[in-house]
Amino acid sequence: MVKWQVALIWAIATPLILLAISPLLDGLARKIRARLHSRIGPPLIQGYLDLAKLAGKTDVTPTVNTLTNFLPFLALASAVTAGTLLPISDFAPLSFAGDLLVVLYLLGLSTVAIVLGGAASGNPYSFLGAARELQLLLFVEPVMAFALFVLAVKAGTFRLSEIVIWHAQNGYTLSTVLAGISALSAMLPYFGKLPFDLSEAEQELMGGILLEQGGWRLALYRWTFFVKWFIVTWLFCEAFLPVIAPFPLSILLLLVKVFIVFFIAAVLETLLARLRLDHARAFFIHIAFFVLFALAFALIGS
Amino acid sequence: MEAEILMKAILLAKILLVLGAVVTALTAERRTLTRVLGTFFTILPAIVLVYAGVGLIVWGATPSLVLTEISAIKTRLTLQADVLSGLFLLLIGILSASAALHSYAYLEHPHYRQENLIRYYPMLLLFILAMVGVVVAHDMLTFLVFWELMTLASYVLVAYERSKPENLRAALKYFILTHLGALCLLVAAVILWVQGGSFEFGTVFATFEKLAKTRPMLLHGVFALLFIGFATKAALFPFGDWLPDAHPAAPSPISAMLSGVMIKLGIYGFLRFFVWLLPTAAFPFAYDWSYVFGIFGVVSAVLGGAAATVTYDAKVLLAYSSIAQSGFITLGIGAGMFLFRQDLQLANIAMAGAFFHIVGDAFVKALLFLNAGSVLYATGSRRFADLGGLLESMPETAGTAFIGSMAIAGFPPLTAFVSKWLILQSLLFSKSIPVTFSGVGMLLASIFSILYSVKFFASCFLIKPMRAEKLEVPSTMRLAQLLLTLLIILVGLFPGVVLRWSSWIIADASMFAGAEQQLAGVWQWAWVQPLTGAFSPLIVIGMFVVVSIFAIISVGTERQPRKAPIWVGGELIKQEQLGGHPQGVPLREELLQRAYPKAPVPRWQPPAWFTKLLDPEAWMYRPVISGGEWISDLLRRAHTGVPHLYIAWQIIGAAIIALIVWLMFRT
Repeated sequence: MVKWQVALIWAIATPLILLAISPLLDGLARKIRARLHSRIGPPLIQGYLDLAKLAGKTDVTPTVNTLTNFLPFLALASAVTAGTLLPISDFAPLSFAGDLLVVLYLLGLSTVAIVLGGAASGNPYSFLGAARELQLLLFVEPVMAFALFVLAVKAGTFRLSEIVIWHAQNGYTLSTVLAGISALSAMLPYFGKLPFDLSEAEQELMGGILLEQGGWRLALYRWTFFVKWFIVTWLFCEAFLPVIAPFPLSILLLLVKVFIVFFIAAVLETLLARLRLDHARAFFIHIAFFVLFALAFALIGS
Repeated sequence: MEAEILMKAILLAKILLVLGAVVTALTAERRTLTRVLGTFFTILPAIVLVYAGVGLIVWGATPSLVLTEISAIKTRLTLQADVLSGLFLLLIGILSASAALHSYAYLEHPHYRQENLIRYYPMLLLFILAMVGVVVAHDMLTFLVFWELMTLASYVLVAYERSKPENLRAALKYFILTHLGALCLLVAAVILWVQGGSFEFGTVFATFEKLAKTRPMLLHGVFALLFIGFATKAALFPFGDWLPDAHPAAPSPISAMLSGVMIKLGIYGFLRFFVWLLPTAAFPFAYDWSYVFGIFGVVSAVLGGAAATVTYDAKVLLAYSSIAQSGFITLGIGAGMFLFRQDLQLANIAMAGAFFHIVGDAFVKALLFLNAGSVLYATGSRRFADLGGLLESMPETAGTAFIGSMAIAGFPPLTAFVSKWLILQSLLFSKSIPVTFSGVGMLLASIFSILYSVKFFASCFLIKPMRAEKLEVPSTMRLAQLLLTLLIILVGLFPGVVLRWSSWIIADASMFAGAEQQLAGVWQWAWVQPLTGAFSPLIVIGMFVVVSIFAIISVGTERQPRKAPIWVGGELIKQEQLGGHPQGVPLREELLQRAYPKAPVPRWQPPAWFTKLLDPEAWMYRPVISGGEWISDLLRRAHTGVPHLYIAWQIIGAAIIALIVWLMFRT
């Protein structure tokens, strides 16, 4: 049992750290893309610069009311809350406050907040983006959930730190490897990046759900995306690439793992073109069968 | 002592309800007076019922009262309340109070003004009386009488707006299908009477034990009849085909009552007959029937969710969602009945999830139906195509609908999350392959529930340019919605309280006795920590607040946003063409592969019988109707008014009777 002081420090520090370092991922992704295009690209801190610029702009928008002012905070807060519940190797001070399903639902809540923000603007393009995002949710969320359920069923618990410990001690099996591959493919739509950036789709929908957002509101939504990239990668790394290490070393290891996985995702983003919604659906239905086989293997013990 | 007070409270509530029914029936011509009296005579018994319900759960008393004894059938007609009844009395009290508040102004809408109130308030009070009677009945006869009274009263209420033929059709369908269910219950009661000799629940208990030892197939038959009867009320697929028709037809407060409590009484029947009244000898039967519960639960949850996602009518969407939530509850009960032998703790967690879902879904579904009613009151339509952009016109209704939709989507820290989370845990960690795969279906249904709740909220209040006019509903309607919203938030933030109450209730059933001690530390007041997971809504909400404050400070929101017209890339578009199509999630086209003309790629089409199976009206309801018509046609042809024919009938009948008598006494 973790001491309450440690939990308190974790509860205050983790959101701040998450908010502070997650825009770095944006700069990183853009740098990688620029290098693959043989450009020099923006500096690594471009994410911070963008946020600061947006926060200084006047917000010009068709709907101003309490709900639309509240939704960006809901999106960001639920994403960050999901982040505080995650473990670093076996160290999870807030694991008594939420488990795997809470994390998944909080990530879903953050998506739904963005969708509602897009739908509230009354813009047809935003609405199209919102509808696409919801449909994508229907296909992506089960795949991600089932992939993590494979581990949960093997470990016999929803608690993330125990899942990590179990996975580190027992090593890979057929089912966990299959689940890991499925989860990796389901991570891309969580990023909201190519080839699954259907909800924004700048070339078709002019930004989709973010079209009518501006100023600090857009800054918060973008920040939510950055935080979600970090959290989903973190969750994937801890669940499927577990390494038990003492505390300070584990943070370093986590950062290295997150960097590597995010690097792969960023390269994929540059190399692939956008999928149409029916292609994305077909892709995830196949992945879903894959992951259900993984679950069946997990149940018969391999 | 406490038991006597509680019984007196229940009787007082019943007397008040009867009195109210008489008074409102007498004053029905004077609308204002009737509305005031009707609201008063609903809220007063509601308070008494809430008191009785809380008392029953907290004190654990089982007050009992013998009404009369009918020696011819060796049955004492008894009212007896226990903790299980207490929970349902509590729900009936709260929901009837909010429905009465909401209908006070709702019935004065021009839409309903030409209807006579004598078909509303007396029937509503009788309906509540019947529901109270169902949960406190302690013999089959009283139970069935109140069950029938409940169906009849709600039939009149569903047909309240009788000027529309589709409402009458929906009400008739409801009447016929629920009576088929009630017929099954009646047959089961008669079989139990023949076998046991009495209608009392005590005798039913003994009969179950006797039949389990001597005639197991007959017991399975009785269980099948009971299952069909209660599943019709609980609206499980395919027995619940009446529900998507009846809910939109009924006035919205009545829909809230139907969906909030009445279909939960089907669940009450499951709990009473498959768990509470089961002797130890019949426990293997519970294990067998848990498969049926699980299959029907998963199928209802998934199909109800999918159907709700593709509807274009607010109340139809909520009706399908009721089917889905009923499926979740049944699945939870099934998981409890499956697991109680191998893992009592996990079984208890599943049952606690089911009970929490009964409470949470009652509040949430009632709230959403009241919201749909408010939208109907304000705009005169419940079709998504006519709605949208109402957020600024009716801010309070929109706010409560937002909480309700997020709750039914299952987002923490609101109600439905906890129950789905508990049921899913018990399914996934059951170490049984079919049960774990029913967890797969359950997760899919949960994601459907996210989709349709977002669709409900967005299509009603968002997705179109905001309307300028003020449409907010009268204060009594808002008060009813606010009451339920506060309850949802409270139950969501402190799930431990409700879960501890449900653990007391569950421990009352002999099947789950003894698990209370094992689960002593699990249900804390603000966090829930079963072995396999952990959740603390207060910490989640605390993190929300902390992060929001930090974000407010860091981005600074002192600059007012500037309003601008909707930007569509400079195209000239009329204002009314803006906004999204109300289909919200264009899933129907996607599912049916009609979106784009397709190249001839071989595709899997569901077989025709499967498509037919998904339409219970075609294979279940219409054959019953046409069969009834055929029989009445035969009878009509026998009565042509020709005397010779009558004489012929009499001679034939006499001959048949003589034959029977001869066969009986021939020895």
